[in-house]
Amino acid sequence: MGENFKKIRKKHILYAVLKSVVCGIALGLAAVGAILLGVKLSHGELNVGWYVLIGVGVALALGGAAFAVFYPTRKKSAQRLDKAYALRERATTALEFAGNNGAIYELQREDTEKKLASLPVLQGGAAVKQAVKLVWKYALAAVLALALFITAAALPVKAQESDPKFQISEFQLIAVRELVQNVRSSSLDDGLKDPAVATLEQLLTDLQEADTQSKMERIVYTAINDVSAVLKTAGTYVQVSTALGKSKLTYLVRAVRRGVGVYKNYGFENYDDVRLFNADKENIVISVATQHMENYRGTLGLSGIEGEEEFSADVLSSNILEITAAVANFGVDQTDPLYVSFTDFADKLNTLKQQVDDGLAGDELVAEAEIVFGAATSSLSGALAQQSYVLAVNKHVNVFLRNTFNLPPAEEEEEFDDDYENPGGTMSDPSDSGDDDSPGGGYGTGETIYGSDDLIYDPDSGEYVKYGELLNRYYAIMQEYVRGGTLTPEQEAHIRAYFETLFSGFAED
Amino acid sequence: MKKFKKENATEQPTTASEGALDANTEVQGTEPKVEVSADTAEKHNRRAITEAESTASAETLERVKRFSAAVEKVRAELQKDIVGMEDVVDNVLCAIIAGGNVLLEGVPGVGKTRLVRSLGKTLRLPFSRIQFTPDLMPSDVTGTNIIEQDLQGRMSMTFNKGPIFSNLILADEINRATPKTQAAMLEVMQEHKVTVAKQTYALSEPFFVLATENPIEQDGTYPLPEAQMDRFMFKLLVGFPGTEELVGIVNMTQITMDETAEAVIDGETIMEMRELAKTVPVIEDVVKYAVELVSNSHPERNSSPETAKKYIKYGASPRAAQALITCGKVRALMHGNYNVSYDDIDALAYPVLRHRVKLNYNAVAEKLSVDDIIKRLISETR
Repeated sequence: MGENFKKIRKKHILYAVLKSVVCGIALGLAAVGAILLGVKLSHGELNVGWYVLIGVGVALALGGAAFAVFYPTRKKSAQRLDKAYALRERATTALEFAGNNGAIYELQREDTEKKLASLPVLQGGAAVKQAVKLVWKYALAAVLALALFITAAALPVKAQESDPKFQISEFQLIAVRELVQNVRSSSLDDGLKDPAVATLEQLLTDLQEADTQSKMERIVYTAINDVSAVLKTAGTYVQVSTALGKSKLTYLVRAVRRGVGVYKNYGFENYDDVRLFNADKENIVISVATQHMENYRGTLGLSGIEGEEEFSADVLSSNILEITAAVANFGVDQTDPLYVSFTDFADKLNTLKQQVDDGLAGDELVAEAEIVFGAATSSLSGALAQQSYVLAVNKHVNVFLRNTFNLPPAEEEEEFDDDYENPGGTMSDPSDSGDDDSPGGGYGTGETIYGSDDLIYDPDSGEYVKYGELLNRYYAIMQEYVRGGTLTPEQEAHIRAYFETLFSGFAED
Repeated sequence: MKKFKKENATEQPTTASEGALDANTEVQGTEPKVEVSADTAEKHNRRAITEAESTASAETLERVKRFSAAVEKVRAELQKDIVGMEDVVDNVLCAIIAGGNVLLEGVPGVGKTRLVRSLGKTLRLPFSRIQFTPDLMPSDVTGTNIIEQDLQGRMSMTFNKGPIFSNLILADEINRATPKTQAAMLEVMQEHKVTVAKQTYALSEPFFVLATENPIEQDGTYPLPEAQMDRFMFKLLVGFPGTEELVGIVNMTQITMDETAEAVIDGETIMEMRELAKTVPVIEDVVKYAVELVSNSHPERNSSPETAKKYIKYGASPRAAQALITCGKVRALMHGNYNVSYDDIDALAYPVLRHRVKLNYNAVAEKLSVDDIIKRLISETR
């Protein structure tokens, strides 16, 4: 076809180039904007050169691909012409039969030429208008991509701060030195003290070389962990309580765990607190241990309190066997104070049993039992107090270093509480018949423990019942009131909140 | 355009250029002593090619002019007897030029027969009218062998030609004849031959059957079977005229009821028009479109549109695709174009497919006509 077709086709190619360029720019900007946004949101950093490279690369690659799609072949141009100017397939026919000779083809081509020659070839403003009409969708995409890019660039996301400089202050030096001195002068056994002191002295040396905040943090945390590794694993209370738990001697487990855990009640920010604790540790521990030993005595019917279990020689015998079995499973040194305490306790209970066999009973039995339990409690508390002290020192080191170097406090709940709570769910109700497989330690079945099995006075029956059972009964009564509509919504909300608190309290118990 | 001629002449040797080369060789043969350089020979060749093409083009242009003039004359003559019905007239002319038969359907009195009679006069062709009735026998149409006795008293069998031996046949109310008689038309319409007593007689060209049928009063009629329907290139609907047209008809027939059209073209002209139309180029996309349109009328095809699957019982035969392209070429020339367009195919889809597509009960239930379905097929195929 003639010049006019060539001109029109050139326009088509120009529009294809224009569309491809706009597409490429839109996709390049979108790619850079998306990457910039991702980098900013993830607090990362990327060199400006990379953005340029990615933008240009995407624009070229996808712009090129777009051109391949938009490129008007001669046939496409002819078809577009036919459609745009209602040429009744004249242009396409002329093109398809361009190589054919014959008068009718000549006439067809002449006819097409005439039509094409009469077509207005857009110039100036009209051409621009046509170009805008063709590419406005792609231009809109480019504008959106630009908006994305600008948004990403302007996003006020705080970039990751660079590692701030660190230089140990005089105060920090003095504080660490004081800590070293305090640990050195502590009542820890030498086997524990020496490695702990060595770790802290190394800390002092390392800190003077630390030049960034992250290095300082790493050094301090390493020291804390090393000291903990020495001190926290030194005690035998874990093995002992685990073995007792396997024998279902719950109150004895609690006496051990909670006896050791008394240090948790103190902050130990200052070493004076540690000193004070050390001075009074046996009294503190014995007050806790006594409570649980008394409870244990009650389960054997040897406390003489009305309403508690009646004494049974068989129960005593079985408990002696359980304690003996647990002691055999302690897996600790036979000179360990806790081992010695429980061995003595088992012996004394055995002696008591023989006395019972010989006729000891009633108040005399209770009085004799009190002597046995008093001695056991005292012995046990002495052993536990020392282990609690070790943990107190460990806690002091941890808290003191964190405070000195302005580090976040330790998650105490995980670090300390778990150490003395029910290990492996072996605690059980001492009065449990053993018929079910409850993990024990509270009211309920399965994995969820709703409350303790502590006995509580029930005013309705006039008897001591399990706390959990009483709570459920009260909850059922409350629900009846709620269903009956006798409570206002406010009252209902208050009551529900109260019971929720109780239930969660028991779960933590 | 000149550039095209140049490219064609240099890159693609054609019949015309080969002819020119032969002419050149002949010149060299007749004047062997004259040495002709390569450049000069090339110039001679090009000039010869251009001259040959120009001559052919001029001839064709003349033929095209004659084509247009003939169409215009026929239209003008028919307008003397027919009021309105321009589309029907154009489609009938289109089918005649393309060599196809036409079925005209309309209620009584709308001018079907008058149109065909007037056309017969205009075309200056032998014209026969056969009024189809239930007692019409095949031999009444085709002719039969009769015993003749000469002056010497010798008797012999002679074939007595029936009314079918004509060029333009008006098969009036074709659906009133029995299937046996209708079937006699099959061979005639498709092959333009008549076989009687094992003897085949060729009909003179051009040959057309223009049949009429009445869509009402179906009692005592024999609907044309699909095989025979397919022999008609077009089925045209002759509707009731509008008020203005009716006034024109009334006024026209007050003077005389006879057709006043005069013969303006002959059979030879029609054959020439047909040959010319065959040369009209059709691009492959348009051919594919026509084929696809016909294929899409088949509900059994997986790729057919939903319209076909839902409303069509039987689709159109391959003859429909042939008719679309053949008539598309004629229609293009009739409208002064030199190529077939999608619009030509769309316009012809209605008369070509109308009698070839059978609708099912869904279409009947939804009161959809064949033309409605064809319209949907067009829009779904485009």
